[in-house]
Amino acid sequence: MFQGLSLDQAPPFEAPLIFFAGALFFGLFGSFVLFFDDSLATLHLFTIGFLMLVMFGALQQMLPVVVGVRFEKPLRAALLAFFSIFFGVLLFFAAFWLDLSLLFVGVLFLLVGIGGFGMVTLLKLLKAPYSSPTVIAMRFSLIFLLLALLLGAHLGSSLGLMKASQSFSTLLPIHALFAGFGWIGLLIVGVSFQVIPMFYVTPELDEKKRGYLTYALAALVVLSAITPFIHHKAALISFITLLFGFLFFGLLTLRQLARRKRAIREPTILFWQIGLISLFAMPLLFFYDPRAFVIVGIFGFAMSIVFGMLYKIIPFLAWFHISSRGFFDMPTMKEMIDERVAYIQLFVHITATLALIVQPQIAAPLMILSFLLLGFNLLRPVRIYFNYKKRPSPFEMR
Amino acid sequence: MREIVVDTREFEPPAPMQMVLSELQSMLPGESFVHQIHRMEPTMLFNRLKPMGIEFVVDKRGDEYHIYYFYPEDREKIREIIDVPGT
Repeated sequence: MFQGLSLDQAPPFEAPLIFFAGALFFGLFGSFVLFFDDSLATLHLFTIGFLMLVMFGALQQMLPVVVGVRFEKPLRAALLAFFSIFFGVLLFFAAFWLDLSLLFVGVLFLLVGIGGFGMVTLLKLLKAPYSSPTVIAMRFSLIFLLLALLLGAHLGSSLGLMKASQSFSTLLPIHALFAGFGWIGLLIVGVSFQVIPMFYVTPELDEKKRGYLTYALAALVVLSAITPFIHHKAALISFITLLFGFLFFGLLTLRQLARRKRAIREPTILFWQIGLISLFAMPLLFFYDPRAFVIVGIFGFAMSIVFGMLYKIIPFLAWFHISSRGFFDMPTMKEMIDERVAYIQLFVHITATLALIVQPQIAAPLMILSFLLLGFNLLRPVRIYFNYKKRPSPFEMR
Repeated sequence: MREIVVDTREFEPPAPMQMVLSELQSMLPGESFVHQIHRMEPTMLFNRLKPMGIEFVVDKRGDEYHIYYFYPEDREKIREIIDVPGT
């Protein structure tokens, strides 16, 4: 039972927009860099620069919606976190090209930006007045993010000191596990519980099923992190079970999407389906092609879903903020996005992901095109929002 | 009191919010309340109610959410009418 006068007001649109704009910059920058380099440094342009920035923006927006809490000064919090992460990622990347000692400064910025934003968000979620599987999944994902950050900071500093010891090769996969499956994976799982029924008019997954899945996936991430120190086979079994856990989530969500009450075709559903189907390839790729495993996980699964969500979130927020000022003559959400361009971007994105497995230099121009199409398409709702912002509200005119 | 029922279960955002906001325009203190039937908690809509001075109660029945919107002065009357435990 939920009752009350009202939840707090949603943060201003500018707060998540800062994160989304920065994410687009890093997506494009990372794609350009692919012409020359596909190392871990470039990978972080996409994982921290693109995925994390979008997720931070979305989290800040979702907090009031999901749990009824918000950042006290949302714009200031967004700016502080954004610029720390922005310079952190740039310095992190530059360190690999110029001077490894720069890693210290980069890591410091990332600790402040990611750590600060992650801690505050986690605390708010822990203090939330009520809980749900989405809230639980978000809490776990933020805990894993902070663990991944600490491990990443340790790994980065040891590289900066040129003292990458034997523990480096042990801790690196655990860092990737926490970041990829714990943070990104569980966050997508938790958010899907909320947004799939909301945007696609599907039945909600059974609450118990959502809860068990969340706890099981979180436990499997922990097990996969601990077992390598105990027994090699146990580690392998834990991780494979985790992959099948995510595959099961993919199955459940695909079935949920297939059961939507209105079988309207639209690009964002395809983005979700491509993302979820990517999960099916992962157990096989893990054994046969570890590089493809990482690419399919990040670009096939996470990025496809994030693209799909951006096409929903940005027009929805633009509409929401304009209408809350009393306007009703603005374009509808569907009119704000050019679906044909979104379909083309999806096709280019899939091709770029497959090309990346074969040859990064072939993927680079496709990925640049993909991010340009995304930016072009999302610019329209943002422009509409700012155009209306300039106009006096009908409420004020009364 | 007159009950204005808005069934938004099969509409995607932002239609449910638009439909309820539109009905709330015609809701009068002491005369009517809005009863929304939805597939989930419309939390974004709740954000909009504060400046409007409207209260709400959520009652989850199986997979459905029944949300009642009313003016604060009608709180007691609504409690009697809808009989939701905990209100």
